[in-house]
Amino acid sequence: MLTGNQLSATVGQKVLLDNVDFVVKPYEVVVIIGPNGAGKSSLLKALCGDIPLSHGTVSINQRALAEYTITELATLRAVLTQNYELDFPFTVNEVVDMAHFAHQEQQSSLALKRFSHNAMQALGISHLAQQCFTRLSGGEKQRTQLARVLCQLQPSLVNQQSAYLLIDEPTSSLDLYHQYEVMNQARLVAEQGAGVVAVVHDLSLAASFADRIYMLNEGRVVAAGSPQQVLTQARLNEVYKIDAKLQTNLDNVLPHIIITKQVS
Amino acid sequence: MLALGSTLITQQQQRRFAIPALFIACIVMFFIALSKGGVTISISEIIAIINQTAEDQLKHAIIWQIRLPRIVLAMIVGAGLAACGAAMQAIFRNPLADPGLIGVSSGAALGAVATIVLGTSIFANFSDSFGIYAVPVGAFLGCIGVCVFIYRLSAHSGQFTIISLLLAGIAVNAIVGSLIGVLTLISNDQQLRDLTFWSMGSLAGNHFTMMTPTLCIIIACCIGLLRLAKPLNLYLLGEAQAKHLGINVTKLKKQVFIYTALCTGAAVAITGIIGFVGFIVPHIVRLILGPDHRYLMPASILGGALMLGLADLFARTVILPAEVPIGLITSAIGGPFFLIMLLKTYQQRG
Repeated sequence: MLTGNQLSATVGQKVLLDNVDFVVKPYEVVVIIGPNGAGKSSLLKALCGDIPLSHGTVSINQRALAEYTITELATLRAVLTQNYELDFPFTVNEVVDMAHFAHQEQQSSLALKRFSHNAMQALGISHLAQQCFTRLSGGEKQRTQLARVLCQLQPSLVNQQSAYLLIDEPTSSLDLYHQYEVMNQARLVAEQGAGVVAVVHDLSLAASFADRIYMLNEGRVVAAGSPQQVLTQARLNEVYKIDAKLQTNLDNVLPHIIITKQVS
Repeated sequence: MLALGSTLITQQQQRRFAIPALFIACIVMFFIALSKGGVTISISEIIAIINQTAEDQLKHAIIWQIRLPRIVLAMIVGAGLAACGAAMQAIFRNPLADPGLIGVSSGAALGAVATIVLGTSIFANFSDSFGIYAVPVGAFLGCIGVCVFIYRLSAHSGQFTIISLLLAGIAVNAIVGSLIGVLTLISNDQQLRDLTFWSMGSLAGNHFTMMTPTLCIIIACCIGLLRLAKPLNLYLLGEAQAKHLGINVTKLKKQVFIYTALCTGAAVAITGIIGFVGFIVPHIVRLILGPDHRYLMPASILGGALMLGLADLFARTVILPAEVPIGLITSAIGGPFFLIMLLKTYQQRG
């Protein structure tokens, strides 16, 4: 279990997080939503231990983050951040292979190669394996980074150890097909036993794939629970200032948000 | 990305062959450099001299006292500078970075210039106690002093950020530059000549007793940097990303800083400032072999040894009996060569 207990964080005078409680268990996908500047990325960074907290603790399996070594954490959880700064001409395969670092002592190099291969196949980038990363399109870059992160989790998942995947806007530069494909992959990882935390902007996407949703606004959790419980008409109006509702009752259609036309 | 091959298959082949090829090239260059000079000595004579079976005392002295120390120094210093350049380019995540950014060159220059100019007055004790070692020791102390200062400035509250390192480096380099200016202003003609030549670099006139500490430090630092190859690859993804993959990023940055400061400091102290090797060798190797430090680092070390060895061979044979300052040669060969590589790469990209 990955838990955040009464997390607060500030930068200068600005409050990033205000007393946030957060839990993700194995086998579930938890999605964090909220308008711009609500503190979604800050919460994800806090859960990774990347920003200093003014109050509260993050722990994995009842043990505080600070008590883990960097290598232990790398075998326990994988993180996909919003920005990456890779300007050096590594190939896609080499970027994915970087996930092996924390596992190289426990796993044979053959097993590690297979994990890379599987991860690239899952994200549909096998044909790019020998391409230079810096020359890929935005979407291909994002899928490469996601493949790297999935590859990092594979050894723990195969050995039935606990694993957590934290992803910050994995779908921001992907087309519709790949957005759903990436969330499907997150879903599959959760079915293999990982706890998945994803920051997502698209509410329909969130409603389609989340077991639970945390809605943030101004650094506070304003609602948490199933998509139906969180995405109510009143709350969407209050937080996003839109007149919209969640539609889930159609057969063979994923849940989606319907926005009412503004009458001025 | 590729300068010599057109597909990635050949890049993998290049990787496999590059390191043995460079190694063989180094050995060939080593023997050519031993045989060429004011007196040409054949390879069979060289082997006899090294085996201590040769009769000719003059040639024996030329090899053991002059050429061998000089060639060994050139190769080891070249290797060290190139390894540090590769590490700096990784740590700044910028292919234009070089060790000068962390104050090594300016610190060493300050130490050397201060010893040359003030050696007869304020630092008379220092000059007397170190004798001929005074300038190298002064340069090394200056280098380490300035590096420690920059390190302290950029490592605050447990953080060691690259941007503060860069800014502290720029500021301290400027201050040190003005101090060197003041010292230059008060120097007399002979001192001015000495310090000008020091700043152009020279590999001449060193014997093994003087070089040994430098060689040991450089070799130790090169081994240290070779061991960091994998973490440096991951570091190129970004600091947070490298941390999430299991790298202690702060420790990595500090290690690279310390190795680079010691290694470049030891090199600059004894040879003066030899520009361009640390910048150009890793860059050329990266164009050919790609950015993977497991290949880049050893190939840069061998490439640096080869480049500085060749440059020195050229420097001491082209206008016999005089010689050209080595720093001029490295810039004069390195610059155009680098431009050609760059143009070829852009042409291939189309």
